[in-house]
Amino acid sequence: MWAYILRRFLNMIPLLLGVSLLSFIMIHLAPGDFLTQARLNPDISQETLQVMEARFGLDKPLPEQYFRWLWGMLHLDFGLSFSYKMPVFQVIGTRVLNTLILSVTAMIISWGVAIPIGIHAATHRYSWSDKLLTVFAFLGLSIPNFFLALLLLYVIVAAHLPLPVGGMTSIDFDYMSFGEKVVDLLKHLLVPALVLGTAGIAGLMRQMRGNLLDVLRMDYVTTARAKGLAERIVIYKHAVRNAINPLVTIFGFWIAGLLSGAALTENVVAWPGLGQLILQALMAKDVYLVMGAIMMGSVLLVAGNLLADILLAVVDPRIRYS
Amino acid sequence: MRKSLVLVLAAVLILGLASVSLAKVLDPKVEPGQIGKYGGTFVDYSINDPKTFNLVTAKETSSTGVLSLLVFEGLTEVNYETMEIEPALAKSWKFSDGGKVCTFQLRRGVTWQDGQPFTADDVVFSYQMYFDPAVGSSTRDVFMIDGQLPQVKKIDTYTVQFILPKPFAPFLVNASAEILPKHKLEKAYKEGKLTETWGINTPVKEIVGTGPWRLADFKPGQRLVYTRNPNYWRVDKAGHTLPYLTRYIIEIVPNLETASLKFRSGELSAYEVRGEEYRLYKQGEKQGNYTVYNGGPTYATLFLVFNQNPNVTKEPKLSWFTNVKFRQALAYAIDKKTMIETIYDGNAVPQWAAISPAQKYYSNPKVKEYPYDLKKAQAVLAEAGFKKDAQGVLRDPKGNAVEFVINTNSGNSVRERALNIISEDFKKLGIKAIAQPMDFNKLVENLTTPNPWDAILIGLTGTYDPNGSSNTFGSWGGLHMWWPRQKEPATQWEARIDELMRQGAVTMEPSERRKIYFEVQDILAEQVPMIYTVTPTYLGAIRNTFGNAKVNAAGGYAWNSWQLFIKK
Repeated sequence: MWAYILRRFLNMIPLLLGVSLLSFIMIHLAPGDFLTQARLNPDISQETLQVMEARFGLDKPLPEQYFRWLWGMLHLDFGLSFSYKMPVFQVIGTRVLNTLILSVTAMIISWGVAIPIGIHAATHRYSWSDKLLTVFAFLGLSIPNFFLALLLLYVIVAAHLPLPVGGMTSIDFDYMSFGEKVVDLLKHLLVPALVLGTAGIAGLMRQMRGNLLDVLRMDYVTTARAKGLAERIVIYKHAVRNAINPLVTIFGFWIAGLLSGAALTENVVAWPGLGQLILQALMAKDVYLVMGAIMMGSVLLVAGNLLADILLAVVDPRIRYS
Repeated sequence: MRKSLVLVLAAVLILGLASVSLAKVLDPKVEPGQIGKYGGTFVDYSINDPKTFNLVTAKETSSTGVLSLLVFEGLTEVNYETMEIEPALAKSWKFSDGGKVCTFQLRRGVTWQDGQPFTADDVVFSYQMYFDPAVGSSTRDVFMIDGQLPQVKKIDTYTVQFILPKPFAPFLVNASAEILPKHKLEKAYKEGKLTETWGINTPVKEIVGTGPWRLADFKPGQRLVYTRNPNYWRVDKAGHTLPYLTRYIIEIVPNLETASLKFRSGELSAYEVRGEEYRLYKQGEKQGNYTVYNGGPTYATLFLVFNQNPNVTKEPKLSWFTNVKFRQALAYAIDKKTMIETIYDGNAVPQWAAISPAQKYYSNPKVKEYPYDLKKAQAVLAEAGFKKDAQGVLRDPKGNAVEFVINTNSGNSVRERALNIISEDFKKLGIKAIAQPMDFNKLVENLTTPNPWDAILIGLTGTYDPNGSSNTFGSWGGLHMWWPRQKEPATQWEARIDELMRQGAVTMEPSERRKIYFEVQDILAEQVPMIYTVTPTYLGAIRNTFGNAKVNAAGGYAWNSWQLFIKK
C-alpha cells in the first residue's frame, strides 16, 4: 500500500510539469499581455510602458520567463502577481477560507440530499415520488447557476425577505458576538450554497439511483431477502455499501473542485471566493496568479484521486493495491 | 452604579463636544453648501477589488477609486460642480517668470491621519517618487513637457516651488496628483522596494493620507470601511470640521445586476443607473426614497476610425480610407438617433466635436455636422466617383467592390450593438461592411502596433484638460489611431493640428486656448479621421436622505463625500 502511494506521488512530478508547461504556453497563445489596457491609456507614455515591461519581466523571451518561474516554484516561490504586486501565494491565501466555507457547505448540501433521495428513488422506482425527484433533478441540472442565483436574489428583493442581497458578511459583522456572526454568515451563505448545492444534487442522485438499482438486481440481494433479512438491512447494510463505490471515485473529483471556486455564481452573489479572483486574473493576463491557481488545482485533482483510491480500498475489501 | 452613570454621561458629553468640534487647522478651506449634522454612513459600491493601496504604481481605477479624494489628495483639485481648479492641500499659488515658476503656499496645520504634520517635505518627496523613471509612474508622463520634467524645490516648511521648462497650461490640473506621506514611504523608496509597498496585505492603519476618510478595514473581495478624519482641513460655513458622516463604506459587488438589486433592497446609498434601466429607476423613485439625477454627458467617446497607415493598408482600401469624401459620406450614414434610442433608451447625446461635450468649456458647439441622411451620403460618394452597380454593390472609380471589416471588442454589448447598426446602414449604401467583434487584447494590439486592420469602432475616456488628447490628435501620438507614431505628419491638416496642439499646451490664457482647440475640432470635423457617434449621459441615483448631493458626470454622486450629511 505505502509503496503504491509513493509511486503515485512520483508520478505526480512529470504530470505537474506537463500541466505547467502546457498552461504557460496556452496563456501566452492568447493575444495581449498584462499591459494591454495600459497601452490604450492616453496618459501613459511608451517609455513608462517599457519600464513596466522590464519590471514584470515581460521583455524577456518566453522560455526564460517559464524557467524563471519553474525555478521559483521549486523553492516554493510562486512568483509575484502583476496586478497585486504581492506574492501569488498570499493573494490566493486571502480567498481560500471564503471559498472553502462555500464549497464545503454546498458539498454537504449536495451529498446530504442526493444520497438519501437517490436511495429513495431506487427503492421506490417509478413511483410518483421517484418521478417527482427525477423532474427536480433535471431542473437542477438544467438551470444555469448564475441565473438561479440572480433569480433568488431578485425574489429576496421583490418579496422583501429579511435576507442580504449577496456578499459574505454584514457591515456590522466585526461588532457582532460569535453567535450573531454565525447566523449572519449563514444568512449570506444561503443563496450561493443552495445554488451550488442543488446543481450538484441532480447528477449525484441519478448516479446513486442507477447504482443501487443495478445492485438490487444482483443474486446476493435476492439471497439476502430469501434468508428473511429485514428489508432495511438488505438495503442499507448490503446493497448501499456496494452501490456506493463509484460515488467514492466521484468524491475524489469533488475534492479537487473544493478550491477551484465557482466564478459565475461567486460573481453574481458577490462572494469573495477564488473563482472570481482567478477569472479576473485570467482576463487581466496576470500570468503567475493564473499559473499558481492552475498548479493548486492540479495538485488537488491528483491528490483527490489518490484519496478516492485509498478510500475505495477502505470501503471495499475486494480492492487491494500492490 | 452611580459612578458608571457619571462615566456614561461624560462619554456622551465628550462625544457631543467632538461632534461640534471647531477647526484646528490654521488654513481651513471653507466649503459652500448647506450646513449639515454629524453622524451617519454612506454605502457606496465598486465592481472590482483594489489591487494595491500604492497610488504611485496603481494603474487601474479599482485601486485609485478607493483612495483618491477619499484618503489622498493633491495640491490642487477640480471642483466638479464648477469644473474650476481650486486649492486643496495648497492654500494658494502664484505664477512668476512668465508662467515658468509656480510657487505653492501649503495649508498650515494639516496633519496626516496618524498625527504627523504635513509639510513641503512630503510634497517634494511625492514628486521625487512620481518623477523617478525607475518607479514607472504614469504621473511622470503627464508632467513631461518636451521631454523635460519640472524641478520641485522646498522654499520653507509651507512653500514649494515648481520650475517648469516652459509655461504649461495643464500644469495646475496635473498638480492634483496625490501627495503621499514621506515618513511612511521614504524607507521603502530608498531601499528600492516602493512598488511592493502598501500592497493590499498592508495593515490598514499604515495607510495614512490627508483626506476626509481614514481606511479602517479592508476585507478582500468584500468591502472597505473608512472612518471620519476628525482633523480634516475642510470646514463648513459655520466652521464645523468636515466630513459630517461618521463612516464611508465601499462594498465590492462584481456584478452590476446584483449591485442594482442591492440598491433597490436599500443596502446601498447610491447607484450609477445604466441608460436602459432609467425608466425602471425613475418609476421607483418615490417607493425607494431616492432621486435619479441627470449628470450630463460623460467623457466617454465612441468612434469609428479607418486605417490610413500606408505601411499596412493595401490598395484599393488605402485610397478609400484616405479619401476625405469617402469618410464624410460614411459619417452621413451613421444613424445616431437609432443608436441613442435602442442602445441607451434615449439617455445619450450625439457627439460631433472631437472634444466631448462633457468638457463644456473646450468642446466646440459649432463644428461641421453630419446628420443621418443616406441620400446625401450617396451623393457625396458619387462626387468621389463611387457608384452602385446593377446588383446594388458600391464600386470605387476603378470598379472594385467596396468591402471592409469593422472590429470592436467582443463582450461589450454597447459597442457590439452600435457596430450592428452601423454595418446595417453601410449595407444600404451598397458597402459590404463585415461586423467582427474581437478580443479586447487583440484589438489593442492591432491599434497600437502596425497590424493590418480596416476599421475599428472603439472609445477613449476623455480627460479634464484638452491637452490629454494630444496623444490622439497629434500625429506623433501612439493613439493617433489612423496612423500612429508618424515621423512627419502625412497631410497638411495633420501638420496644422500638430502645430495647434503644441500651441495649446503652452498657451495660458483660457480664451486663447479655447480658440486653438476650437480650430483643432473644426479640422477634425471637416476631415473626419474619426467618425464620432454618441456620448451616454451620466445617471446617478442617490437616496433622498442625503443632503448636499451634487451629482454630475465628471465626479459621480459622491465626489463631495465630505459634504454629504443625513437630513432629518
